[in-house]
Parts: sequence; C-alpha cells; structure tokens
Amino acid sequence: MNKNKIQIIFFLLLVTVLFAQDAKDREAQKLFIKIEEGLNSGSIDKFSGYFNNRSYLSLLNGTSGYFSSNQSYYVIKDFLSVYKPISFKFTNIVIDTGNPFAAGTLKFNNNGIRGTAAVFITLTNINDEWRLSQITIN
Amino acid sequence: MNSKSFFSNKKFVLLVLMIIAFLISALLEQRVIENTKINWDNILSENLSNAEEKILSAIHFKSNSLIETTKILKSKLNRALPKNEISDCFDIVNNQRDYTIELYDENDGLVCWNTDPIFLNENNDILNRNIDQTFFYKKQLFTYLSLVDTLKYLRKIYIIVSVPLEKNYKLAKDNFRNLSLSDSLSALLSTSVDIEYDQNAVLSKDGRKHSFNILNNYKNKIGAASIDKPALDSEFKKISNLFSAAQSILFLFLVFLIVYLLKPFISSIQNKIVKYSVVSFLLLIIRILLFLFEIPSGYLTNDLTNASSFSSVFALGIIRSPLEFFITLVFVFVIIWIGFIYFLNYFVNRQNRTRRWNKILILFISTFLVLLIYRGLGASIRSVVFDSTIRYFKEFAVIPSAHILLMNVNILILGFICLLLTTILVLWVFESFKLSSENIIPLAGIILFGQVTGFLFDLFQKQPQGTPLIRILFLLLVILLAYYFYKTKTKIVFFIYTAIASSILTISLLSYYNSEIERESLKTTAHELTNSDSDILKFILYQTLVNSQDEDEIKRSLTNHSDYAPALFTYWTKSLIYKENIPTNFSLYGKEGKLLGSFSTNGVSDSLDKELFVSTIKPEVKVVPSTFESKRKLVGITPLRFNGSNNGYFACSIEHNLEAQAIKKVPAFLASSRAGISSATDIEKLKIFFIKDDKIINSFGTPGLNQNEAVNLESVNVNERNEAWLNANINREEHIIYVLKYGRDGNQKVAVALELSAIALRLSNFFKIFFIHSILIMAFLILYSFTNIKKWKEYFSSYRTKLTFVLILVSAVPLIVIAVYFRNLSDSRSKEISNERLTEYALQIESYLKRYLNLSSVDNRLVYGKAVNDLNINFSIYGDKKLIFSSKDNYHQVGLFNSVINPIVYQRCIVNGSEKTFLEEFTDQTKYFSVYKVSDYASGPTIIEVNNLLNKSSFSIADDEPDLFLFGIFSLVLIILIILSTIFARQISSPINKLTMATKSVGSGDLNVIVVNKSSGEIAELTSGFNKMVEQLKKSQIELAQLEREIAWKEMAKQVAHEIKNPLTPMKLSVQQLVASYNDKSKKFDEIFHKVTSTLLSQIEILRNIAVEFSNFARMPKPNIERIDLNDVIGKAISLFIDDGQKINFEFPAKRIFVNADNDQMSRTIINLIRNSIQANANKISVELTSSNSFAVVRVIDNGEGINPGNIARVFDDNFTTKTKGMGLGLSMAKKFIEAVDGTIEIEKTSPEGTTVTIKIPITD
Repeated sequence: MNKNKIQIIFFLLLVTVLFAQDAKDREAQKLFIKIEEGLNSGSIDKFSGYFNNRSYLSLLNGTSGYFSSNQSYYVIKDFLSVYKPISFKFTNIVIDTGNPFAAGTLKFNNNGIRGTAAVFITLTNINDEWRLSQITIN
Repeated sequence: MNSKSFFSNKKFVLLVLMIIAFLISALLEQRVIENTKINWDNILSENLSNAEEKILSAIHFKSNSLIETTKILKSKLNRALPKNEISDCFDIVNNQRDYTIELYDENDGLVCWNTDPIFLNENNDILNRNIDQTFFYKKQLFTYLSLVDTLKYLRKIYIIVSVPLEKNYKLAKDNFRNLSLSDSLSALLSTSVDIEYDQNAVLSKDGRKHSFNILNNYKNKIGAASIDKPALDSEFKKISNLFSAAQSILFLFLVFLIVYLLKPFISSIQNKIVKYSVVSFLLLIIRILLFLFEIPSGYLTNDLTNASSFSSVFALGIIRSPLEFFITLVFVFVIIWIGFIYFLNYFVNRQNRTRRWNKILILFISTFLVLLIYRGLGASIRSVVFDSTIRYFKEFAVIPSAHILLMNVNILILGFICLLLTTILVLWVFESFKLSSENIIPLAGIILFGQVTGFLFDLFQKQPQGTPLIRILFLLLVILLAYYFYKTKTKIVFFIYTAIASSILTISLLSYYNSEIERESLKTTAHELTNSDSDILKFILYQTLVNSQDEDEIKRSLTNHSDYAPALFTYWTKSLIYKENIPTNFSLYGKEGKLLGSFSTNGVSDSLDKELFVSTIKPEVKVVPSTFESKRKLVGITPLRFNGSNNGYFACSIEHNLEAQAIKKVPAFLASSRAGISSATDIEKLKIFFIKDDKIINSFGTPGLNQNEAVNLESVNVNERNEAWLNANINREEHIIYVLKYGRDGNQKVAVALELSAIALRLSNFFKIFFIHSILIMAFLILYSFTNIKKWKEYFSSYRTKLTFVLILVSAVPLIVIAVYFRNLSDSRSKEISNERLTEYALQIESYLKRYLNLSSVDNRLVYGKAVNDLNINFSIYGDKKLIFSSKDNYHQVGLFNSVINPIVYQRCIVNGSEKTFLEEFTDQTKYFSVYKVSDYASGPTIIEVNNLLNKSSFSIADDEPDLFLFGIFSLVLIILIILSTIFARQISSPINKLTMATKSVGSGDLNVIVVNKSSGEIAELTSGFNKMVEQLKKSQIELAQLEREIAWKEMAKQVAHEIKNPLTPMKLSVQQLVASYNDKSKKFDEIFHKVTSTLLSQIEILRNIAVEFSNFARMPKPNIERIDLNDVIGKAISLFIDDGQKINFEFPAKRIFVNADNDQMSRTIINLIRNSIQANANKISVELTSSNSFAVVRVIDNGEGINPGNIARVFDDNFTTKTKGMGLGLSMAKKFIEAVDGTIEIEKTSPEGTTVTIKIPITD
C-alpha cells in the first residue's frame, strides 16, 4: 500500500470519527431541546422515553435520589403538576464533554405562589444512546 | 313504571337529583368564573384584606402567647426567688421547652437558661430598650419573637422569653422538620408571603405586592410583611379545582347509586358465569372511573400518593402510587374472591366424572397458568422493590410510616390474590382427578408434575423470576393449601393459612429482589464515584458563585458584620453542592481579603491564593494544581457587589477526587438523603478499590488484601461495556464485586465490593416484614369477626370462644410483659454501652490533657487540637458555662451546636457537684448521646464533652435491632400461641359442643342421636352417660308408646264393644220378635217383618258410623298450611347438621322464596333427605334453592352411594326401606306432604357417584 492510500484511509477514518462524534453531539443537542420543550409546556411525555433505568432526581419539593424510569416519569409528572411551569429555557448547554449537561431557569406557579428554580440536567451514554442521568430542579 | 310509582321510589328520585346536581355544577362553574371576572377588583381587595388580617393575627397570637407565658413565668420566679438562689430556678425554666428562656444578672451576665441563650453577647441596652415589648430578633440560624421583662431580686434580673418563628435553613433530609411562619402563611393563603423581621423594614413599592407594617403590643413597628397579589387566573384555577372536586364526589355517588339500582337486575341473572362477568365488569368500571377522576389521590398530598414512594407505569398508571396500588388490589381481590366462591359452588354441585384426556388437559393448562401467575407475582414484587424508594428491610419501625405500612399491605394482598387464584386452578385439577385421602399417589404425582414443569418453565425463560427454591416453595404451598381446602372446606382457616403462606412467599421474593437491588447499588456507587466529570463540577461551582451574589443571608451578614458562618451554612444548604453531597468549603472575605467566616464539611480547607482577590472582578473558577492527582481541588471566588460597591468576596472550594467522595463524606446528620437504588446498601459496608495500570492504588473500607486477593482483583477483565461482576474473597470472606473501567485513557478501574452474607436472606429481615404482616392478618381476623355481627353475641357467649380468649390471654399477657421488659432492658443497655464508651473517651481525653498541659506552657488550644489528632476523638471543653474549645468549632459557630453548656449539665455538675452526666440530646431531629465529665486539669470548673454524633465509631446498638429482635420473635410466638390456643380450645370444647347439639336434637324429639367421643376422662364419662341416657329414654319412649298403644287399644276395644253392644241388643230383640212372630204364624208378621228389618238397618247404619269414626281416629293430624319462608326453613334445618359438624353447602337466591306449606313438615322433609344422604355415606352435601316458572325448586345433592336402580320406583312407597333400622316411612310421608301442597318430589338422578332429589312447590307472593 502506498503512502497516499494510507493517508486517504487515515483521512477517511478521521472524518468518519469526527462525523460520528458530531452526530452524537447533535443527538444530545436534540434531546436537550426536547427536554426544554417538555419543561416549558409541563409535558413530561416529550422526554420521558429517555430516562435511564437509574436516573438521579433532586427536586425543589425535597424529592432526591435515584429512581427507576417508571418512577422518574411519575415523580417529574407529579412535580410539574404542582409546580406548574410558566416558562423554561436552557441558559447553558455543554455537549462536547463526556457527560453532556445543560442548565436553565424554570419559572413556575405553585398553588398561586410564583417562583423560580435552577434546572440542571446531565446525560449519559448507554449502549450508544443518550439517556437522562440526572435532573436537578433546585 | 308510571310517574307516580317513579316518584314514590326514593332511589330513582335520588338518581335524577344527582344527575341534575351534576349538570348544574358544570353550568355553575362558568357562571362563578364570569362573576369573579366582573367583580375581581372587589374580590382582590377583600382577599388582600383577609390575608393581611390572617398574617397579623398569626403574629399577634404568637405575641399574646409569649406575653402570657412570660407573665406566668415571672410570677413563678418572683415567688421562688426570695427563698432560693437563682441557680435553683433551672427547674422552673426547664419546664417551658417550647420557649427559649434566659435570665441575666445586670452585673454577672447569664445566670439561668433552658437552651442555647440568644442574647448572650448582647449588652443591656437592647434589653432596656425593649422591656415589656415584643420584638423580632435574629440569631445565627433562627429568627425569634422575644419579650424582655425584669425581676426584682438582689439586683436587677432580666428575663427574656423567645419563641422561634423561622428556621433560616432547610436540610434535604427525611427527618428534617421545617419551621417557618412565612412558609406556613404562604401555604395557608396560597400566595407568597414575605415577612421582614426588622423594625427598619420599608414597605414594598412593587405594584404586584401588598405590603403592610407589623406592630407589637405597644403599637410600635417591629417589621413588615408583603404578599403577592393573587392573579386572576389563579383564582379561576382555584374555582375550577373546587368544582371538579365537587363533581368528582357527585360522580362517585352517582356510580355507586347506579350500581345499587342495578343490584336486582344482577340478582336476577341465572347464568352464573354471566352474572360473575357482569359483577367483575362493573367493579372494573368503578375502579377505572375512580382512577380517571383521581379519587382519592387527586385530593391527597402525602407519602401514600407520592410517586417517589412507589410508582409503576403498568396499565396507564393505575398503580402509580402506594394508595392507587392498594385500591387496585382491593378491587382485584374482590373480583377474585367472588370468583372463588362461584368456583366452589360449581365444583360442589358438579357430579360428572372428567374424562381421562380432559384430566390431562386440565392438569397441563392449570400448571401452565399457575406458573404464569407465579411469574406475574415475581414481576410485581420486582417492581415493588425496583420502582420504590422504600427499603423494606432497612427501614424497620415497630410503628411504620403510613406509606411503608400500605406497601406491606399491598405485598400481602398481592401474594394472597395470587395464591387464591392458583388454589382455584389446583382445586380444578383435584376435582378432575377426584382425589381421595386414602390414596395419596395422585397427590404426589401432581406435586412432582408441578415441580418438574416449574423447572422446565424456568429453563425456557431468559430471566426467571425468583430462585428455584422460591419456585419450589411456591408450588408446594399452593398444592398443600388447595389440598387442605379440598379436604376440609373450612374457609376461614384456609384464608388464615393462605395469608401466612402469602406472607412467607412474598417476603422470600422481596428478599431476593432486595439482594438484586443491593447488587445493583454496587454498580450505582461505582458510577457515582467515577461520573464526577470536572466540567460538571466546574459548572456547579460557577453556578454557586453566581447565585451567592443574590443570597440575602450573605448580604445581611456583610451589612451587619455578624453571623458570617450561619449565613454561609444557610447558603450551603440551598446550593447544588449540598444536594450533591460534595465535600466543600464556603468562605467570606472582606474587601481587603481578610477572612470573615467560613463553613466547611469534614475538613475541606480553602487554599486561596491572595492574588485572586486583586484580580477578581467577576465569578472565576480555577483548578488548584497538586503534585498528587488525587488531591486536585477546584476553587472559585466572586466579588459580592450590592448597594453600588464591593462588599467582600465569596469563595468556594470543592475537592475533586474520588477519595473525597469515597470517604470524606458530608456528616450524616447534615448530608442530603438520597433515596432509591443508591440507598439500598449501607455505604459503610462497602469496600472500594481504585486500580490504575492493573495495580490497586487506594482502598477504602478494608485494611488491605493479601497477595492472592489483590492479584485476583487487579487482573479482572471487563466486558465491552467496561464492566465486570465477580465473586471473590476479600479478607477471607466471600464478596460480590463490581468492577468498572473509567477514565479517558482507559487504564483506571474502580471495584466496589459487598460481603455476600450482607445480601443473603436473613431471618431478622424476614421478621421485619413478617411482624407487620402478622399484625395485618390479626387485624383482618378482627374485622372479619365484626362482619359476622349477627353471630357476634352467640359467638362470644360460646364456651369455645371464652376458652380461646382465656388461653390467649393467659399466654399472651406474660409474653407482652416480657416483650416490654426486654424492650426497656435493651434500651437501657444500649444507653449503658454508649455511656461506658463515651466515658472511656472522656477519661482518655482528660488523661491526655493532664499529661500535656502540665508538661508544656504552650497555649491550651494547641494541646486540645493535638489531642483531637492523636486520640482521633472529637470533643468540646466548657469552662464553667461557655464553650472554650471544640474540635468541630465550625458547627458551634454556625449555631448547630450550643455555645453555652446544656443547663441540665450545668445544674448537675456545677451546681450539684456531680462528676459526670450522661444525656440524650438532639440537633434538629437527630438524636445522639453525650457524656459530660468534670475535670480538674485546669483551675476552675472545666467540663469535657464527648458525643457519638461527631465520633465516627458507632457503638450503640442500632435502634431498630432490639425492636426487630423482640417484636419479630414475639409476633411469631404470639401467632403460634393464638393458633395453639384455638386448636386446644377447639379440642377441649368439641365434646361439650357435640353434647350441646345432641341435647338440642333430643329436645326437638330426635332420639337417634349418639355423641361420638374418643377421648377418656370426665368428658368421656359425660358423653357415655349422655348416650346411655338417650338410649334409656328411647327405650322408655318405645315402652311407653307400646303401653299407651295397649291402653288405647283396650280402651278402644271397650268403647267399640260398648258401642257395638248398643245396636246389638235392639237387633237381637228385633230378630227374636221376628222369629216368635213367624213361629206363631202371627197375622201381623208382615208388619213385624218391616219393622224389624227397619230396626236392623238403622242399627247396621249405626255400626257403620262407628266403623267410620274408628277409621277417622287413626288418621294423621291435619297439616297447618301457612305462608313460609323457604330460605329460612331450609337454613334452620341445615343448621342442625352444621352445628353437629356436618359440612353442608346451601346455595340460595338473594330474594327470599315463600310457599304455602306446613312449616314443621317441610323442615322434617329436608332433615329426612339430608339424613338419607348422610346415611348413604355422602361427604359432600349441598342444598340448592332456586325458583323456576312460579315454582320453588329445592335440590338436595349428595355424592353418596346412590340408589339401587331396582329400588328407585319403590323409594316413595310406604314401609319400603333398605336400612336395617329404618321404618320405610320417611320418603313416603315426604311425598304425601309435598303432594298435599300441590308439589312434587322425585329422584332427579342417582348413580354410584351420588343422588339428587328435587322438590317443586308452587310459590306464593
């Protein structure tokens, strides 16, 4: 094999790896957008399919710990039914890291009492898919 | 139905009214919303005025209570002081635990107190300024409402009484008790209430808020409050919620009413399968409606409805919380229960034999379904463990919290339902095979078949449920339960056994899945240890710095130049760093970089470069490099700008290394509690190893490994997911180990190990749940007794019940006394051990201090610090009252621990001269033990304090261990005692019951009764005497009857002779007259002949009449035909046999059936038929009452020997019998009686498998 061929193969491999990495990052970005939409509208169904089988939740109502995906669904759903979102937007999204994370501010109405909470969400890669590993609404 | 009859039916009228109310509520809602919209200004103004009034009255209520308490206290102290010293007043102030009370001498300062004094460092000015007035005062972590007054003693004594209003921090812990007046008022008023506890507070100018001043008892301003004006949409939402709640309740009632109205329709359904399907369908509909209308979960907010306790997405969330799970299970239980009853009736009445191939088919189908149900049970219990934050074996309490109790109930019901269902299937098999007690080979075959099929069933599954042992146990339990019921048909005992079996089975499964989740937690721990990405930590730190700029507590402390550490602690509890349990240090610096205060968790220091202060103009995060990678630290600093200037700096340090997370944890009494899988295993039990380049570089939780063990661990190969599971020895004990490869270069591994014995099923774990289940089973039995309230009196007055209660009482009372005694004993032993160990620690400290303080002239504090390091004991030193030194001074500065000695210790040690005091103390809700030891190493009174909260080694017995041991064992013993008492009472009372029943039978004229008793002794003599007496009575009765018959015959013969004689004389005379006339050839012969024949005919007529009368005399008595309740008559007839221990099933319709017949003869007929069945050796008898085409149909069905085909035609004949002692009159008389009331009686079918006799009688209205 001549040198040029090796260079071409190396280049193609590099492009493939970078492209794959880029695709992975885009997937993470897409998931964060879904979460943003879900939290903004109070609709957990928009991202509930991405819960890890052990997700860490830490919420304003005192709930804290690791929950199964079944539980995570209802824990977040119940939380959002009490702390009704008025608006939510991510202010910071970091995807070019081992565990992509994002942070934002949630404005809510809790039984007539308005408030804000900092939201912090991290992802983890399980079997080549991004899963929600942590949701903190503090 | 015409309108008149419709309106006279209250149920239908109610139904219509409810529908109207439902519709009106829907229309009214819109109307109310419209009105609210139009009058919103007035409503808002009124709401705000109400809210203001409520806030002020809440504060005034506190204020008035404070004034009243102070007045009472002052009066008590004024009475006590002339006779006593101030130090004697401790008893008086200690009685008021809800208030902080402190007494200050105007010259000597603090003289008496009941908890950590608030005004210790204040001068007298503030006290003089506020005499007799209530005022707000903030100290460290609390805000108080206080009142100052004075006492007249030798000098002026200030008395200050305070009540806490706000706890300025919140711990993310289960046992944390929040205290916040503003939070309570916010929740009460459903709007945000903000109270500024400052007399200089200014009213808010924000138009969205309503602000007002708070005045004290002298009408002086002491603070201000503001509330968010409620928004119109919130009001709409409130109205909607109110109406939807009302509509839900209306709808629920509507559903129940409809079901009630459908009851007659359901009762009229003849086909049992259709009837069962309709009932089940209705129940399912009700359950679904309850779920859709969120009743009751939508109206309750507690742990019972909290998804974090338990939730599953099964069936669209119908079991999404412990309460929903419970409600669903109750409905399923009712459906299965009704099915079970229907099934029993079906099989009792079933006489046909099953064909051989059908039997095999039934065996296969049933076994497959049983195994499927087992799989379902396993999957459900798995969900109960994995989809729940409740750690069933860790969170044991004698009185568990409501959600844990409910989940335990759910587990029991779940097991019960599965066992009931599987029992039906096994009974089906038994019925098909016609199992008999004489031949146990078919039973053994069924057991073997079940176990082999179970083995194969698991073999073909990817992930079998439970273990093979649990599966074997399950199948065995099901078959034995079914066999017990098949033989005895005793429902209540069967249910008790099923409940106990359910408990054993579900606990076994629970324990298995608990060990699974414990295994899983090793994985979680390994991931937790390795996933602290430095990017995330940097981000968290940056967020903490940014948010600190808006933190009110920090601003306030910088403005007031005080309480820096409490402000930092308060901010720490709000931060993400605290929620994540990251070891940290928070510091506040002045403008010039001078350290003002700090708060750190477990020795994390701030390594701040002074240059940072100069350069920092915005939040900045830096990584402090270290020679050791493991010692890396993230440090951040931010200037704090407010009121237009730089007021100082906030700095935060995070230790960024695995060791920090593995060992330097946040202290347990502060750490945020994490629920779920991570809490499945006690972290203290884990052993953690860090491996780099295939060498163990660090380990925690173990002193080390031997060479083989180390090599074994270092050479573990991971799979494509970078993980590995293995079982290996660590310190010669077998462990389960999870290994995870991590890091960008992929040469690092972390291994988390747990001793295998820690996850094995332990008897103690079993008792933790079994104790609760046994209480539930007993509670159910008591409830069940209440449902049989009709028999209540009879039941409790029975000899057997009394005997059972006496036996239980006699055995349980000493048991309970012993249990309580042991509980107290173990409590006091636990305290004793703590006392001994802490005293030992205190003596070690004292000895150390004596040695080093006497030898050196260095500062005492340095020696104290050295003692902490050398002895590895955390302690505090008090000189007289005040704290001199604490190894955890940090927590004292914050205000978590007192800075003045506990008043009880002061009284005992300083005032009364005790050398040592052992106390139970609390910080927040965490209980701990302390020893205070008076020492003479320095001049003046010095007290050394050691507690078990800050000293890592735990030496008191865990609180739940004695409870577990005592209540677990005792509950088991109690259940055994109850069972034994019931059995013994039954055995003792059984002959008496038999005698009672036999006496009843004799009383009702049945002298064929014989009481069988195999026992010996007085009871045997009594029964034998009774039997002899009945025999004698029977003999006498027969003799008497014979004698009576003889007398009657004689009398009758006399009467007959007399009656016959009367006509005979005239007849004789007439014949003689006729003969004489003939001989004399009388002319009047013809005349005489006519006269004589006439006389003879008349006398013959008299004789015939006598014969008729005689015939009438021998006839049966005339029946008393009346309207009788067949259900009642048959029930009473059966009860005679049931009372005698005979098992007879009686199936009757809900609607009572009435016929015109003789009550006694009807009863005699039923008794006769049942007795015939018993005499035909039937062990299964059932009486069925139905109605068909205006006829009441009574069927007596048995599985006896049947009637010989040759005899069928003659069974209703007079004097026909196949019995040696029978008269052959029973069935013939029954036939006569039934036919007399226009009914029929016939042998519907008979075979060697049994006989069915059918009676049909016309129904009357």
